[in-house]
Amino acid sequence: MKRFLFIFSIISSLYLSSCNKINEPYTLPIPVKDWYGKKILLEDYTGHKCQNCPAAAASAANIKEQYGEKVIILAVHAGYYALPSPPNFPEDFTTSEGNAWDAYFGISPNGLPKGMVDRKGYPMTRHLDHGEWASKIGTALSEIPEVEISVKNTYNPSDSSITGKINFKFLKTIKKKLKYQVLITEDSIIAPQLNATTIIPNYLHRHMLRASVNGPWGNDLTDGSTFNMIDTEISKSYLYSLKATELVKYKIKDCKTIVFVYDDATKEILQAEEIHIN
Amino acid sequence: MNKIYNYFIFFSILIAFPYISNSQNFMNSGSITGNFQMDAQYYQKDSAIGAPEVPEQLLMNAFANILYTNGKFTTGLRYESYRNPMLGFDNRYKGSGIAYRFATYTADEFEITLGNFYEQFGSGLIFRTYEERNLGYDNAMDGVRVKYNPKQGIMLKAIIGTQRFFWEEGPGIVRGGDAEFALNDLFSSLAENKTKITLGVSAISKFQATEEILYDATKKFDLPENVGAFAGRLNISRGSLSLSTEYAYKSMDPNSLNNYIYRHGEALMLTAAYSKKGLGVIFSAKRIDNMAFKSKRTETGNMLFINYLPALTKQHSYSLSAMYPYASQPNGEMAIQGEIVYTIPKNTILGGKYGTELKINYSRATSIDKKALNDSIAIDEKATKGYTSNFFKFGDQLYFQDFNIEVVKKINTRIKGSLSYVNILYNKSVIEGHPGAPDVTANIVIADITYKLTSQKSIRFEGQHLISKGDLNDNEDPSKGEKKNWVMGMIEYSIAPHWFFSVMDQYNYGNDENDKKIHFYNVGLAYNKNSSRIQLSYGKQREGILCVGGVCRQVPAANGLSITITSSF
Repeated sequence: MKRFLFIFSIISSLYLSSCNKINEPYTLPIPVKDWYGKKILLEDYTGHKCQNCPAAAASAANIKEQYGEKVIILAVHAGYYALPSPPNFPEDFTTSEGNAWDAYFGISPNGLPKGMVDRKGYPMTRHLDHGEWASKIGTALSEIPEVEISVKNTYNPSDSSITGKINFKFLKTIKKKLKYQVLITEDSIIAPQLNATTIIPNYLHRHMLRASVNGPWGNDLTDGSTFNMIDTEISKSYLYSLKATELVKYKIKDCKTIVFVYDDATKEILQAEEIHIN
Repeated sequence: MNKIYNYFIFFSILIAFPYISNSQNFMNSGSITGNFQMDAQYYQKDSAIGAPEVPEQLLMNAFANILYTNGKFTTGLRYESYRNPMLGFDNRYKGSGIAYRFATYTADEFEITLGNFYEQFGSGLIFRTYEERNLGYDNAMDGVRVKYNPKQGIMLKAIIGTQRFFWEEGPGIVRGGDAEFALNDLFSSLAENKTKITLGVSAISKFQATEEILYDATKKFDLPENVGAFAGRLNISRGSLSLSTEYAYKSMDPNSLNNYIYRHGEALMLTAAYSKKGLGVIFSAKRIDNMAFKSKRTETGNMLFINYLPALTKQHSYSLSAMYPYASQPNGEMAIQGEIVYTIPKNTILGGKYGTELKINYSRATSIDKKALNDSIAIDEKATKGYTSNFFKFGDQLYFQDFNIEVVKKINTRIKGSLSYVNILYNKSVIEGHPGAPDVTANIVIADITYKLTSQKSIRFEGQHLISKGDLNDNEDPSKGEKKNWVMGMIEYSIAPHWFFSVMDQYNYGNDENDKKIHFYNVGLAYNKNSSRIQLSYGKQREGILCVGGVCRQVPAANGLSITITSSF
């Protein structure tokens, strides 16, 4: 028995010593990572009545500041916390596309803020707390992209329409059913936001999803039945009238289009691009 | 059905110990037990109560446990199916499969478990894995557990594994050990001593690889990969008196719940109890400081807790007194609870022919004292030590208070009943996370009478009334008024041993808004046969919070037909 006690006490003392002590300042510089051209879409599910959402938006801003145009941020206002509650929160920033994604991915019922990085992790681990975003993005950025996207927009102020031309180029031979999605976002909207215990009346809402050009799930790019050879290109175009959706009231200079390609089987986003409307 | 059971057993044994399938005798001499439960609901949209439209219309949660025991060997599994998860349950449970499987073998002084297991060290302050189906909570371990009982009075345990995260496992490895010494069994000189003493020590360490969590655009947190926690406990009892205490310490563990502060965690629990015939007195106190301990540092939901911080408040079972339940606050709380249970003796004026039972309970939970580290660092500022705290000082903020009294009386051989009064103060802004929402006060009176018609038939009446103040219809908009008064009535009729019928209505008649003066009615029936039960109910469920032991989940409003089937063998 003594032998067992001896072994047990050794194991116990190992457990006891298994903790790391970290010294001030408790932070480290972020190392520079290799990048091969893959842009990352971070979707930040948020709401103006969500008390922890400004902290998530601050995390997103930090990530954007660190990685610049390599990371595209999309704030999706959805769920209970995004519903209008006049007089304090009169605006409705929800969209039918945002609501459809929220329902499909089951995000807001599990509490906001939550995010998705390229919608990775089918079907389980999409819901990421904002503390996890930087780590997931850091890993995803070093992936080699399969598709390249280039977008050119022309804005016609006379009828508030956008004509877009998108070119998709395969950087690898792939056989997948791919879809592409075109979204309209607006940046820097000033409106009330709950933050911890207080309401900020003039909060700056960033990167907000305003509309989708092609519905919640986009259009087919490939059908998945044949191989798409490396270096082949596919072009698509779209015409979208801001008048049709009353988007004319938005500040055009702050509006952008986001285009992304995703694998229909896993919903994972393979490449994304963001450019100004005009 | 038997075919399905046999399939499960065969499958479980194949998973756990493939070589056993060759041993016919082994299979024949064991015993198989198990149980099954299915809850399903057909949902109807009801905008008046906020019940959403459910695209699937019907949702279902079900599970079955199958256990095979043969002498010193036990193996088992639990099959779970959520098609799709019912409203209020995390939709990451969506799917079906074997969520829990294990094999245990006892040899000499060892008990070895491979696979999933539930375990608790002491009161759980540093380690407790358990399942609570009502909450959708399951943090089962998957790994190895060894229990070693070298002699009477000594129990040693060692565990290692990862924890369940819906259909996956958490990223952290949890390992630890516990030793418990019953001194009276251990030392023959104390064997006859009336004072019984048990000592315990435990340690847990969590490993999770570092990750990039940004402090700002240029810096990331320097994260500890190994976080250690240890606890010591003491139980002393002598005659009708008993005292138990446990202290726990956790090393620095910056995580999402504590805003990435680099402060140690502490917890202290103390319980003193006295009991003799007709009288029981219990007093408990606790202090929790920065004790959110998870096997994934970024997890903010209810999953992957390594430890358990019990709520020191009474768990009310009547629907209106359970409307404002308390949720433990892992970042810091101080709480006390006292309870007296006294039976007024038979054949006295107040006791009557059968005696009268009196229960008085009081609990109170507050914040802990927190002071800023210096003038330039805010309390709970990330990447600092967070704050300083006076261990013995209560904080300024009252989280919860509950005073309740219950009288239970048997009038004659046919009638028995109880009368209760409950007074609750509920800090909605902290407990529900609705900043700015006012505190809620609630006064509740409950009468419960059972009348036995015959030896098999009985009827039970329940009447409840609640007066609340401060419970807003919309937490962000006080102009939408308060919920105020509720009344609830229920009649249950049972014909033993098979049938059970009930009719119930909860009515928010005092609501400031006329369209929210809603009847939440429900009718139900159940049929029991041997160890099986089928239950049907139809009606409306109000939105609320359900808590078990201080762990809570939101229950959404729902309207529709529910069915529950339970069975065991």
